[in-house]
Amino acid sequence: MTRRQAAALAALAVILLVGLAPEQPREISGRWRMLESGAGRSLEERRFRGSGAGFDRNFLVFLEALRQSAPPGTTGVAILGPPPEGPHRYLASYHLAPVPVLTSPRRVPPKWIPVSYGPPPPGWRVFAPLPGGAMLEPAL
Amino acid sequence: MSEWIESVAAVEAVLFAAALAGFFGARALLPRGRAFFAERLSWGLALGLALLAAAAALSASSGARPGRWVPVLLGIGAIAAGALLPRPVERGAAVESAPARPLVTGILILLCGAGVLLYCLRALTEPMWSNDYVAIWGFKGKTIWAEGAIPERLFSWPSLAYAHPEYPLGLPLLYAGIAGARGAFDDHAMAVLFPYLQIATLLALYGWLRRRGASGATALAAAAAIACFSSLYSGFLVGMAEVPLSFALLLFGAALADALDRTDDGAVRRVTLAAALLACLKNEGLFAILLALVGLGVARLRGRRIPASVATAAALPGLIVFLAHRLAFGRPPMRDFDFGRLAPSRWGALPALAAEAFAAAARIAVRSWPLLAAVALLILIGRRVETGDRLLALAAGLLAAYLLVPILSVAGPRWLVDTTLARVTAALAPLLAAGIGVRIRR
Repeated sequence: MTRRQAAALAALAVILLVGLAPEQPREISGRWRMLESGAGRSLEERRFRGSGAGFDRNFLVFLEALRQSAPPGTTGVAILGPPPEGPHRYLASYHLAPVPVLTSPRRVPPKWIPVSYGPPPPGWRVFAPLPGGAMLEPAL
Repeated sequence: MSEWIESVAAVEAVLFAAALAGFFGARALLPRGRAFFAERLSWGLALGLALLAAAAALSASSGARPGRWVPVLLGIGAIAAGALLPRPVERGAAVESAPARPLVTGILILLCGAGVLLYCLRALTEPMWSNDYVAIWGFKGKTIWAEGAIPERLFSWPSLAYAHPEYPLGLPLLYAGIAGARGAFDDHAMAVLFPYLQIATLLALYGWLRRRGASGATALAAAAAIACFSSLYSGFLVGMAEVPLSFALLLFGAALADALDRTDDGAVRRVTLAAALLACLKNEGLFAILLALVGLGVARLRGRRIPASVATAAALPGLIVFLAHRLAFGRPPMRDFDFGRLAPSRWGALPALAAEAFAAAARIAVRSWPLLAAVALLILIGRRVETGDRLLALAAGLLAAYLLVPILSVAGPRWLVDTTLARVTAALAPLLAAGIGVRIRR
């Protein structure tokens, strides 16, 4: 083996070690278990157990219930409660797509469905309860 | 059979059918022969995926939900084009050197296999979940698929600015195309696309290196190093544009090198397709095309004869995609960047911003020093080979751009470097491996 080949081999070994280093056996077995246990579940359940909903799993339950209860042809959904930007907004827009979503807008656009994640804010009352929130209507 | 396995099998069937149509279509891209076979498989997947995305774009622009018929028709068109277009001819015999010893071959193939299996595990553990997938790529793909249109609000509503209206639509259209052909938007099963992209990248890398004179051991070692590179093939990047971009960058670099070296008369066609893929995937793809054009211009100034067809093939697809996006969707603001900082009156602030970007990049480099040292060693022990030097120059140019662009970041150079530099740089790995491999050869 020439010096050049030895140097190339050493460099390759370092690259492989660095590349594979984050892969701890415990992580591999954890992923395998997750894959195995998730295979028999529905897509919604797998999504609920996954990292995407990790920041607030109850929010995904709320969104799924909202998705199932929203009437066909819904113009848009305004979710009162979560901040206007950030993971709640992104997940809601993705999960309910193609229905447009706003989180905590200054005002609810006309013909949009107002819902709250958490208790209804002042000026609104519950029209239909959802897990972790509710569909709203203006309080008279 | 569980719902999940059934769904993965359905997505795999879509990808396999697309790759098969692409494989026959790629007859018009590569000459006949064993030396081109691995690359043809790879280009076949690239072409097949492009057809799926194009089918979604066609359906959506005619107001129909992406379905099965348009991709089938496009697939038939690609197969017909492959059969009817004149097959490229090799201009010089492919330089294939001796294969590796069986033991070395076995070990390196095992490493490649391990890298692919580990990536399958990372990609398929759960539905695609990373922030950028949910907020940008998956959101747009699901919207286009479900609405059967590319809604104007994606580009005009200020409340959707977080989804980056200025980004190209290639990946969302691909998601919409796969979902249309599959008949459902399943963001868990669709993750299987990413190991496919990894395998196609490895085939392109191995095939190109072997054809361009690298020994079997070198080509397989490069493929093994990339297969096991978990910074690129991570669970986090599944669903995002870096993995497809890394594949397109490799195809572009390899095709451009072939076109300049005139290895065969299909190279210019390959440059065209790869440039289109780059432009459709990410703005970094347009950067790569621009850098390549600058490189071609410099070479021409230094007296090198650069065929106009090569520069046109590189430039035209990017220009068309860029203009089509502008014409169809307007000129969405790049809200992450403040180009006003380039005004002469504000030049005084640039050195401090650059220092902040470089300091943040240096912190990442320090953490990755063993990897960077290994790459530097491989570059140093390589021989000067023009083909390899070109690929390294393209990768270096892109890295320099990634280091400089953060000085325009509205959120601050440090924020942009911390959140993006590692992943966009990781996407250069296959291109870099091709450049290094062809310089080492044995």
